[in-house]
Amino acid sequence: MKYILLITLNFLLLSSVNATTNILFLGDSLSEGQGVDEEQSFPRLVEKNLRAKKYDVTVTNGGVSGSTSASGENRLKWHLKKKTDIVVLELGANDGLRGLKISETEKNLRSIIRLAKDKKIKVLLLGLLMPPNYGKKYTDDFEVMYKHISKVEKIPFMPFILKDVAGIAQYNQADGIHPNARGHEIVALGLTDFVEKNL
Amino acid sequence: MSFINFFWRDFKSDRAFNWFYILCASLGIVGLLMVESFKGGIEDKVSKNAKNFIASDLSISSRRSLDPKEIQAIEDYLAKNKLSFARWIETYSLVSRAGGLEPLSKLADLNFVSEEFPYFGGVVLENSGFRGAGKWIGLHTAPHAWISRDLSWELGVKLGDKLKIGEMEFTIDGVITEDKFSSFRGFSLAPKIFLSYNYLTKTDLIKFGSTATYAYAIKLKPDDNLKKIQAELRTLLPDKSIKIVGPEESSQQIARSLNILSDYLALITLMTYLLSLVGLYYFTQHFLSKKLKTFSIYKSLGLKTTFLFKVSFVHLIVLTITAVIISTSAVVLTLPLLESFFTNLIGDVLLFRLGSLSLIRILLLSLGGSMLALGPLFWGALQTPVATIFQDLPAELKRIRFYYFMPLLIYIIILTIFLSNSFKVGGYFLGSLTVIIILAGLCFKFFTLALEKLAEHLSFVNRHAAKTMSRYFTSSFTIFICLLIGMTLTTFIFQLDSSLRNEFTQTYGDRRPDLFMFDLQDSQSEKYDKLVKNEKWHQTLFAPMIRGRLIKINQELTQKRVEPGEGEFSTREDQSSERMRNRGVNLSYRTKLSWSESVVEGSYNGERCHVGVNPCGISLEQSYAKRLGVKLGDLLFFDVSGIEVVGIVTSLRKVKWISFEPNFFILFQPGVLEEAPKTFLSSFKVKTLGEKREIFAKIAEQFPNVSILDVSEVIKKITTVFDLMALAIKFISLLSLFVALVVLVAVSFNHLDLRSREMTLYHMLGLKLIHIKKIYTREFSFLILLCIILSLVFGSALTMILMRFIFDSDAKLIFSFVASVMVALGLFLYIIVSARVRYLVKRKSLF
Repeated sequence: MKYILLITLNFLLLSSVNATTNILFLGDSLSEGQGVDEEQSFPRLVEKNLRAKKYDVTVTNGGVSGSTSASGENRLKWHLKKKTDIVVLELGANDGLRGLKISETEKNLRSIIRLAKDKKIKVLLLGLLMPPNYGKKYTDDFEVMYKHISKVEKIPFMPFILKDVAGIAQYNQADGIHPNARGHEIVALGLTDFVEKNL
Repeated sequence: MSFINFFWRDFKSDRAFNWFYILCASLGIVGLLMVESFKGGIEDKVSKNAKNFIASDLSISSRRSLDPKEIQAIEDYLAKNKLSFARWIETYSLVSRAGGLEPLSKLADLNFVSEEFPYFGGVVLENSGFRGAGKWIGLHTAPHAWISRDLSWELGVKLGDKLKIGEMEFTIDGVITEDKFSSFRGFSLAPKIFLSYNYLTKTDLIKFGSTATYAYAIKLKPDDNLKKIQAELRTLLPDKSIKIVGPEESSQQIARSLNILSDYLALITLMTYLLSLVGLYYFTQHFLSKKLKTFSIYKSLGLKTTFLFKVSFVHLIVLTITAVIISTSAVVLTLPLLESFFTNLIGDVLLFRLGSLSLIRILLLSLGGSMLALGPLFWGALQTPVATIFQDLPAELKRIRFYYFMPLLIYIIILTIFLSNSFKVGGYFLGSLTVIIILAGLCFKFFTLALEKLAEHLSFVNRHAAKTMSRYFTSSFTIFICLLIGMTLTTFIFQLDSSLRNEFTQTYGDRRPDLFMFDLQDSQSEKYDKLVKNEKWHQTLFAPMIRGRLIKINQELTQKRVEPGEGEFSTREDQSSERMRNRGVNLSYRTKLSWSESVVEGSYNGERCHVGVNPCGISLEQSYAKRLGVKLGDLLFFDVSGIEVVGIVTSLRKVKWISFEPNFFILFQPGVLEEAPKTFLSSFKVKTLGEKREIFAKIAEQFPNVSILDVSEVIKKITTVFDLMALAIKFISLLSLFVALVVLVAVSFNHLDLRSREMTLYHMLGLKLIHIKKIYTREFSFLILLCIILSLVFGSALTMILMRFIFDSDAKLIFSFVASVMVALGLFLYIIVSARVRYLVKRKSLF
């Protein structure tokens, strides 16, 4: 009996250590890697980096170009058809660029987070900033929104995913918004640490 | 006798020929001149319209801020070349009402412009009308804003109210009801505001991290070479993310339309010219057959053939130059009248252009064609033996060899390629004409044989007419070919006119959308559908849009494994092809194709597919398939939100580029993507401004995430250009038709003149005038009938070939109308011929 228990415990321990962590990046064109090879997009690079650190992770790139926070809940439902352990939420940029009401964006993001929490999925929130040309009030409110969501929903939060990339021509494509392959690498470096801390 | 004396005497003796030659050549040249001047005017007008889009002759724009070195390079170059320029920065920002009103902010497309702006185009302000070049000073004297009417509605503001933009407050000094400029990003996501560049810094909107388009609008001097300046600037600014565009490149649709118009005008110019050449050829042939005896007499008096040929050659040159002078004077005198007519018609100034280069080109064209087409006739006539003098009957022009016309053939080939600027256009046109002539020859042979067999069973008049045609086969065939070419070209002109005007204006009416709406969510679609139905809005499209990424074609991965920093491609084509394969794509599905799409290969399957049995069908837009290197039967694998979806290419589609309908490169068979996360895209046609306001308000209230693009203004700007082109096509077609008509009448008269001796003989032998008239008019009726049928077939076929292979579109044939026109033309010729026969018989000229 003791022998059986030991084997069972050993099996459970091993399976928990060896189980693959499924990470879903639910985002927009930044996650999708618009304008670069999917292999060069930061979700894929994060997967590569984590695997290099011997983590057993599988990343699903759920980035959809042009998507707003309003689409997040439906898209998450679709992805939940397969096992998901962590959702890295990177949405809201297109809401801001289209000047949508910040309260609406917050409502949508929180619905996504609640759906994930209900399914016992960990959510990591990626913050975004609006370009200064959108006006001080709007850009400030937009920044505060992410902090507020993170605080209220008590979820890990990375303040600005494009830190050290946004506004620097050599890391961005001609549109000045989307990172190029080099930009994605820089984003992935910071993001890998953030995800690793929260695995 | 000196050459000049002899030439002058001979020249004077051929008065009738001289006058007719000048008349016929002048008509052809008038056609050419009109086409040339109208082409110049319309191109100028279209180019000016396109200049309005970029407010200048040339624009340099970049979506990243230019670095100091680049700015220095641009401004040094502009200063060195004494080119004036305006600064123009376009950015998006949230603007709100100021001055104690409740806060309400909306996204706006801000345009900060310097005092030199604009060089072309302008805006129409509700309170003070059109503000074009030099009339924008009011914007710069104080912190003023000119805002679009839509924005004034959305914010509930009026003239004199204040807006908070960035860190500054601006007073609304104008409400824009119409603006001629296009956005640097194509369709503007938000209503526009124009502001003075002087206040840009104070708004504090443009700083590190801001997204904006930084542009220079440059005015060129009249004699500056745009292409050269573009090339020089490109050398200074090698980064391709900086766009250096002229007016034509400012809109792909306009550039394409201009190409179509140029190709069309080139073909019409060529046709008008060939028609007049046909007339001249036929008439000269007639003239020479009369002059054969004179040549024989000259030769019997000891004049050499080469001397006589030189005389004839100079004769033709003098006549052609006279025709050019007369027609140019006539056209120059008429142009102001035409200008005022067209200016009234389109409500805008239209100047016809006729440069010295065009005149020289037309003179050379006319001389070249006349010499090469008519020279061989003269040369052949001069080979006639001296013994012809002793013949009792008029001599016949028999000594012309086919190879005499080889230079003419080569000349026409070169001319066609030169005029159309394309081997393809020239090749298709000439190839089709050659096939038509061969087929026409076979048809005519068959027709005359059939008539001859039937002749025994026909009445006297019909029998005689039928037998004459086979008896004088060469002569009848020549007139038949002339008539057929004339009538085929007439059919062609009408059919092409209809097809091209359809191409330019097909988006009119209920089909042209005014509003695009996107980002409607799956969960909102039912509520949205109810709203649209309840409000009875005219929705022109409602399509699901699913984002995916092409991962494999057949079993081959599409993604190139290029490491960051290593991404070098050997050619631009490689790079573009690779980008295409790596990009995310929008997928959709629908049960049937829209009006703007048609299958060009395979078949479209709109039935529901049962996933898992066999791969479901995919329809690809043909040029997209070409760029991907995909053909029917290939398997495409997509990653749709983490799920692999496979489909087989079952059809290739052509999408009407000018439809302005939102279209998809990839359409799946229904049943595959319904469950995938998707958004919906829709387009609307609105009747009134009130309805537009209502749609904006209700959508914003009930679906705040949905974005609306008002595309009516942009589409209107482009379709205005198309209207002009349609008008150009119509006018030039009518002009060519007039030339065709004159040539057809001339050819018919000459043919009858050749037979006048025979007619008089019949009359002297006692045949009644009515019978003689019937014989010749019946012969003509047979010819005209055959020509009507064949010209309808050939002209329409030629239109279909050219529309398909050159204009990459479908022909819009108008058979009943063209058939009516051809019958009317036939009747007209019949009446003219009858009158002419009557006149010739009454003249009783036997010799």
